[in-house]
Amino acid sequence: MQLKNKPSIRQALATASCALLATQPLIAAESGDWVINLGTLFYDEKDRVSIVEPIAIVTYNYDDEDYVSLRLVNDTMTGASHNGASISSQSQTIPTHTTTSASGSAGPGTDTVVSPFAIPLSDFSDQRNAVGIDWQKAHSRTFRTIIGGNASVENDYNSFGSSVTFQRDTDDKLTTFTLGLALSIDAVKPGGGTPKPLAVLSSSDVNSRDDDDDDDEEDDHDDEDAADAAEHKLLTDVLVGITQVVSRNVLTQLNYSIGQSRGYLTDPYKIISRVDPTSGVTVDYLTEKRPDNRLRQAFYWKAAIHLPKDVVHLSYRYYWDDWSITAHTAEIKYYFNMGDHFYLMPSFRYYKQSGAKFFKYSLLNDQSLPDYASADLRLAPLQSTTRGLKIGYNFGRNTEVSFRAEYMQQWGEKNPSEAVGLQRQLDLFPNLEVTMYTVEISMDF
Amino acid sequence: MKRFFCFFVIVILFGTTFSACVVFPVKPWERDLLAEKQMQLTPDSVEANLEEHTYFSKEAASGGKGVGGGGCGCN
Repeated sequence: MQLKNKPSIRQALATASCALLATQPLIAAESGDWVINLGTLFYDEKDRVSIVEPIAIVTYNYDDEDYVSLRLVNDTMTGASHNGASISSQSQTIPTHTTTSASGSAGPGTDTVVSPFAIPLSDFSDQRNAVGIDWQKAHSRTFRTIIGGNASVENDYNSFGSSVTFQRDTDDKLTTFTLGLALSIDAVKPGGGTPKPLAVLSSSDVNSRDDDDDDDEEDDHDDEDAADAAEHKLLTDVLVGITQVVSRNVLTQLNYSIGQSRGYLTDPYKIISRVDPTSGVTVDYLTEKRPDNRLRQAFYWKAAIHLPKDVVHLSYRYYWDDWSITAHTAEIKYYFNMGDHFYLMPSFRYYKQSGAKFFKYSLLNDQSLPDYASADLRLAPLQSTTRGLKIGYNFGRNTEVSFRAEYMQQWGEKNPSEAVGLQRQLDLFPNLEVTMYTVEISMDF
Repeated sequence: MKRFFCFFVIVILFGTTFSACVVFPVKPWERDLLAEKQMQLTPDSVEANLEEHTYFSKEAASGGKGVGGGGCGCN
């Protein structure tokens, strides 16, 4: 330990108490400090989506534990994403409307021709701008609140949310109890209107008025003015957590969160193939439909461990929801400190989820339509790994620059049991490969 | 069996979180290591934000780390 770098007792206490915070950007700085974090993510899916995402977080610490933090994010997304249609050994012609292209500015409403064995993709481009603000106020030596607000705007999707977090320390400041509440209202407005759910895809699938021949009006989302109306969803989240100083070199945290999503949870841009039950040949394409309610729960555990020179972060999350999805996420980050200024941080993340109960690779055309169906592979049983390496250089106490490279692979069931006919010879879940590069600079003055 | 395993893991995590502090009480003057930036649970807020957004857009599971942060049409 370099004594010359050791902080004062006062600063150490203030910083350690900040380190107990459970959910917000943790700023270890003295009163009056400005902290500016700038970064840009370059995200590239092989043969699919590319994203450039600059982000800026500016924090003003105006008292020992009080701060205001402003977050600005911009996403520029281009490329193509899987539209949900099943891969086929035959050439496919998918009726395309603006609403069946992925989020954002879609191409012209012409049919999409997909080559045999190719992944059915929809081209898109979009921009997202988001702003968030967090204000932490200490009301006493052991109690503080963090009030947050955020807004995110895209061509076809807006989100506005707020949150409040209460944190109470024990007198010895070794334990922090956290209660967080959040509310968000999202509005989805697909270009051209909201598609009728589980409708056969054709040029008339959009804004087709309900013939009132069903009794499920609430879920239809196809009012007469659908073209102009946005669909909404309301998200509420509650988190309780405990953060514990275990020893001089171990800090750990355990959270439980429960959240509910209500409203329009369907992806208006995803479709699902309907195939012949014997041959597996695609007959037609339908829009998807998801339940309008989702209850999400998670346990999240994290530990930061100081080894003689290095620091290791371990985390694990168990997630489950009433769509029958369960997921395990485990991650390790190892800060390999090489001298006073330079560090390497290799990281590894493993993720595994089960599929949603209404997920189908395709529907069979000899069966009646289910209540809900989606072929969005993000709702399929899948696994994922991310390997990363970050290189950081600290210019003394005030400025740090870093570069991080990551490689993510995602894979699922290539030959699921529900495959029929020619589908049995196909890879119904093509691997996804993603490379990510992040450059970052942090300044404290 | 799967549920039992998950329950077992959660009990272990709870146990280590709650019990160890009793065994190793840390005095205020012993918090030098805890004060280091890398020992914060979120040492890099930019990295955390970008990770959260990336995985939210590619996976069905989310949450657990905190509340708020903003929605997105990516999933």
